[in-house]
Amino acid sequence: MQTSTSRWSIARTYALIFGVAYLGVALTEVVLGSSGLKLGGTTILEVTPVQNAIHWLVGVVVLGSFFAGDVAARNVARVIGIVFVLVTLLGVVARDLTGDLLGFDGPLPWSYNIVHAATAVFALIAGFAVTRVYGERAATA
Amino acid sequence: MSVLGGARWSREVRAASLAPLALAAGVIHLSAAVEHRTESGMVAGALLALSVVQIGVGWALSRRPTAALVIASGVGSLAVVAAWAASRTVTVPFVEGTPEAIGLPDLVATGLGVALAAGAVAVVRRPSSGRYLPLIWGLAAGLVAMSLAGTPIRYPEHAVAHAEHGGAHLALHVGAIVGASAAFACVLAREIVAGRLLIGLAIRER
Repeated sequence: MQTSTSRWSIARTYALIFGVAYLGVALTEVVLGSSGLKLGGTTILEVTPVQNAIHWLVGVVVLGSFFAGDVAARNVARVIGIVFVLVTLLGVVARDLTGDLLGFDGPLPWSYNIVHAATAVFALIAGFAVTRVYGERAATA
Repeated sequence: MSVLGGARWSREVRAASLAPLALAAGVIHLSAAVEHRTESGMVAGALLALSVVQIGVGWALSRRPTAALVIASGVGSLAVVAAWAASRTVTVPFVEGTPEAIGLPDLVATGLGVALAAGAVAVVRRPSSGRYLPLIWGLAAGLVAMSLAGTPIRYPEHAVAHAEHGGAHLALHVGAIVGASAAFACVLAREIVAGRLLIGLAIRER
């Protein structure tokens, strides 16, 4: 039990939202990605095997930590945050290398750096945030 | 009650939080008006008027979110969505070029309109619950991000690389994660404003 007013901690909330988002993307890639997905005449989804594997991995681990409890969610958020900070830095200073690693035929698009940075920032907040209710420490598992 | 749905927000705060949806739709329609200015003066004028109204509604929602304004903005959004659907499916009298092809920006603007209408219903029907607020913010941010990521012209210096190397192909990914980020940020803001969350290092917490 997290607090008297909240059933889920911030870390578990992060795990739920981002786990569902990553798994949703991964599943959509499998279902629709082989032939691409068009919306309004623009192809908005085209799967690459490396990315799809990463999306599955991140989604399963993060959403799994939601079901595993507060301690697991917090620890997973910390690891995800640190890993994605490194990936973001790599994507900024070595775009070609990062693009190759993630299966792109060229440099990593900037939009993906934004996605990595957002994932990292919110994971770090979820992993290292302290929740207090009316002055009482409540975030410990 | 969960972190996602447990916090209590005043009706005014939640009504004002609908403002970004109207503002974003207005900006997209303003962009569309500029694009149509050489093709059809009437369509460009209508889009310009619509954008002015939407931006005005967004401003009014942020400053004075009365129940009447919330209801009017919801009904008006649905009317705009209906007009868009008609322009994409049938020949509209006096409007050349209809039915038009569906484009990503107008899909996004339509999504924002639907979100605004849904948000208006939530504000009116559930005066003490902020359950859907993160979802509305997430949806709006995700749709706008998908539109930006899926439009290579927004990145002129990288347009070729963007198109050739799959930048547009990532639009769904970008929209999903930016949407998740916005939803989570909404939860964070709510918890911080409610005094239930302090941001600080917790390395030695356990």
